[in-house]
Amino acid sequence: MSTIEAPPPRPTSIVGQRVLRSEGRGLVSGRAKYIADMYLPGMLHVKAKLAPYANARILSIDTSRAEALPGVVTVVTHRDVPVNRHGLFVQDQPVLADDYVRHLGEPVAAVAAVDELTAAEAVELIDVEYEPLPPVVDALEGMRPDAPVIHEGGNVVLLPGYDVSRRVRVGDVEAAFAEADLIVESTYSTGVREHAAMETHASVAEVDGSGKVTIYTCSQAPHLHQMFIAGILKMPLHKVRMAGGRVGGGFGKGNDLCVDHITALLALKAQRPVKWVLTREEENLSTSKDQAYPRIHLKSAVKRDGTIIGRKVEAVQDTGAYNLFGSGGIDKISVYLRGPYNIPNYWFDGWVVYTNKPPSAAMRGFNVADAHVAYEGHTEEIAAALGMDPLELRLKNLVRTGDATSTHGTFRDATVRECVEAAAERFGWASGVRPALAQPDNPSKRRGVGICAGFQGTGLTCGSDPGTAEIEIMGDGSVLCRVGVAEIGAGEGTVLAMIAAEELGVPLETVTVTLGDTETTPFDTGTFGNRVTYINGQAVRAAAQELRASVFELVAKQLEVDADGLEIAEGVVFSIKSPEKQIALAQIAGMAQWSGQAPLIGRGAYLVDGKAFDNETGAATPTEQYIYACCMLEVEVDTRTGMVDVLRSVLVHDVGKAINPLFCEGQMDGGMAFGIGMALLEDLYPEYPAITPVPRGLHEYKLATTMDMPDDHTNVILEIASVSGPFGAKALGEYTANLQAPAIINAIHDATGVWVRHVPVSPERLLRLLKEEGAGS
Amino acid sequence: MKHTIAFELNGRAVEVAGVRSTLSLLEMLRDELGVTSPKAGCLSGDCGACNVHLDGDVVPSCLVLAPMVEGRRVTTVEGLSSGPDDLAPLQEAFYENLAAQCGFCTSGQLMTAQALLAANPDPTRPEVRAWMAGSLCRCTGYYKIIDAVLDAAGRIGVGPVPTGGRA
Repeated sequence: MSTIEAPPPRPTSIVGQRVLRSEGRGLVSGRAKYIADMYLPGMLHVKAKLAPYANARILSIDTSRAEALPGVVTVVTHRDVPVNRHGLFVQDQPVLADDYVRHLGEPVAAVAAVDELTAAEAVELIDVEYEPLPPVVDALEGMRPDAPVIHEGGNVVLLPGYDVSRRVRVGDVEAAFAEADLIVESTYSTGVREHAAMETHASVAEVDGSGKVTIYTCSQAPHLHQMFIAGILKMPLHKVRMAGGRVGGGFGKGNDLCVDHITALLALKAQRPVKWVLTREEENLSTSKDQAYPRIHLKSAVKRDGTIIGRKVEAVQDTGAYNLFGSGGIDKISVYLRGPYNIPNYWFDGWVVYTNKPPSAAMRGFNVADAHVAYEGHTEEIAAALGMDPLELRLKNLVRTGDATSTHGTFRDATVRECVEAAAERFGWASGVRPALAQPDNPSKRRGVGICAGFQGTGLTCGSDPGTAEIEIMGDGSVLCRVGVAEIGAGEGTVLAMIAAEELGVPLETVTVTLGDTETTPFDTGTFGNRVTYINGQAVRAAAQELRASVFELVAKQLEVDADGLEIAEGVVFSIKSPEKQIALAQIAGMAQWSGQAPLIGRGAYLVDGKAFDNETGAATPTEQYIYACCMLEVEVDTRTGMVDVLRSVLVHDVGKAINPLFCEGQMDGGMAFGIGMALLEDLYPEYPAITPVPRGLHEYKLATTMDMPDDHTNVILEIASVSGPFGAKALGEYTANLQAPAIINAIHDATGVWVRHVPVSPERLLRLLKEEGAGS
Repeated sequence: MKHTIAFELNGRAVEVAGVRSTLSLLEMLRDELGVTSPKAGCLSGDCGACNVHLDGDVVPSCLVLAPMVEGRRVTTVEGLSSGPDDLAPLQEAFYENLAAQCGFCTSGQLMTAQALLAANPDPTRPEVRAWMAGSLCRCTGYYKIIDAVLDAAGRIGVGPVPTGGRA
């Protein structure tokens, strides 16, 4: 693990404060610019020809009629793509389809024209001949030997030499089943979600006559995407610039390539700037989605006293038409299906299966949300089978520091117990005593309570996940911090500025953070997976420490004191022993600039301690820092309409150290809305197994509104310091949205007796379940 | 058929020529006039990100045809203040309450809230919640947006500033 010096032993003056965002005034002024707000002279507009079939062979593509349309400047197909395959784990995804189309809405060609209407008309004039083929809609069907084959090598992504995509073997689960007093088995499933950021994908690309292409991107991973695009275009990295800007919501939509590679291609061919903004309809139809799990089967060995002694899990992941992040997802879910429970015998088998649906990439929750639904619904079933209070059952099994992990490791700082206890206290649930609920007089409305406890890691699962930072002191003493992640709205820039200012010893207002431009920031994997505060925060600290050393060396010479005896506070460098010997940072920086010194730049990097999976045993170190949480909530179910109202909730997260408590609240509030959407509202295929038509807009793909939020919600932020995070910080962000759906399905069971084993649970689905199982007492 | 549309935008007279009948107010503001605060969130009037005022009423500008604003008064967020250094009380309240995260929905939220406070300067929390229900946000979970509107109501002078609790 990378190590950074511990912070200086003084109370923090910036870290821990409810600081407002540096760009906050701009955001409310209406003047903040997003990619779609860019207008360049001579700019062309882009529309793509999207596949009308889920599975079809392409027989021919004729763009001549489109090219002849006045106002059309250029059209591209696969023939214009130097390397037409890319992908993170498996390079199986085309930029523009060549042999087959493998999902509805897959791009086949793209047009750049003088305006959008002309581009749209031109798209209609592109003639594509298809031979439609039977699509694989369901991953379980796709696993069958007689299923239509989507990719050479078969529909299941197998580890070499194995018949699974991931396996974990800890202990002896069969022995556990033999020893069990009770065996509980259940099968859960999750639907496909769409990121539905308020901003749809937007991309502006331009060339500068030197052979360089610049893409103004809403990517969450500008450096990674620079790498992919350079590979696709067969160009060196220094000729491809991703100029990251303000992102109108991430949630994973910007972790894979949807538009930037195509606009780059068009800009190079047209030698003019191009702009592509997807409509909401195109966004819903053709961009990458969330992994869905048509089947998560859990079988647990349980003792009568509530101890869970073994668990066997089988999970089938629907990864869509291309692998994208599917293989990473099956790895990740294998870690979490044991739950935050100390189950000594744990076997996992998982399969990544291609289907003819849009490829699944990264979406908030990323397989871990699915795991939480499955294992916590299952926990509720165990409690019911034992006749045990669900809180009591959890407290009996929650992991502690020093316990073994699900992948042959050890929990170095498990704090899930503290989170559950804090939630119970605030929510009013004493172990063994379910909270008393005020059941409405109307007998068709029933109330119930539910719990979800869990954990998640930071950063890429097992991957090399470098975080970097550069900090420069400008000639007037102002500080510029450069980090290669994206600002997606969580306040990433402000948090990193706070850490930089605190570590350097300068006033916060003298620090500016610039993010995401590959030309000015060092390589970084980007904004995702709870990683920025923890990983980039440590990189910023490392950069600040290197910078302090450079500054002290200069000042030591200037003031004729020992470099060791210097400190910086409020932007003034002073001798600790004789503080009257001091010089302002502004002054020393100005002097350094003009006296031929090397620029005052500190560089830092942080590499988390992760170890890849052993294919045989599943031994792995998925992350360096886990974060723990618990959600408890109360719902009211209307058994006549199937509508579920979340009445009140408590969400507890242990963040280690809240660098900015205001931002932590923002993430936790936002997570509530996201999780409620996952539980009750969001379904890309409401008529599944019919996969067409896809919801065209936000009236059909329903997001949580103000009216869906609980009237009474409380965030509880615990601060149990990390041994390795910046100022003791752990992480937050993605994870806050994973706790709600499990708590809701458990609360629905408590209210009605019905087991909800699929999310989203729409009113129709709940009514059907109520009819089948009968409303509970 | 092309039109010339003359109307009042944020207190100033403007004229846009060559406007086709099917151009939306949203497109005219953004593409022809450089007023980019209203955003294309859905293009079907479901998200509120494009909300502006037409003669003081909130409208989804994606569903208003540009020729319809001839001779009328359009207000956008750019008209609430002259810039980040000179914010209106409602904008200050949004800033201080962290009512904006990614900020993409914020302009629409502001125009919607502004209309509420103009009609009802002392709204209750349930009134704010119901009024703002058509303004979708994927980031904030809404609580801080509602807090900001109530906070602004207090600053604008009528009614107490709420201090906590969310009933």
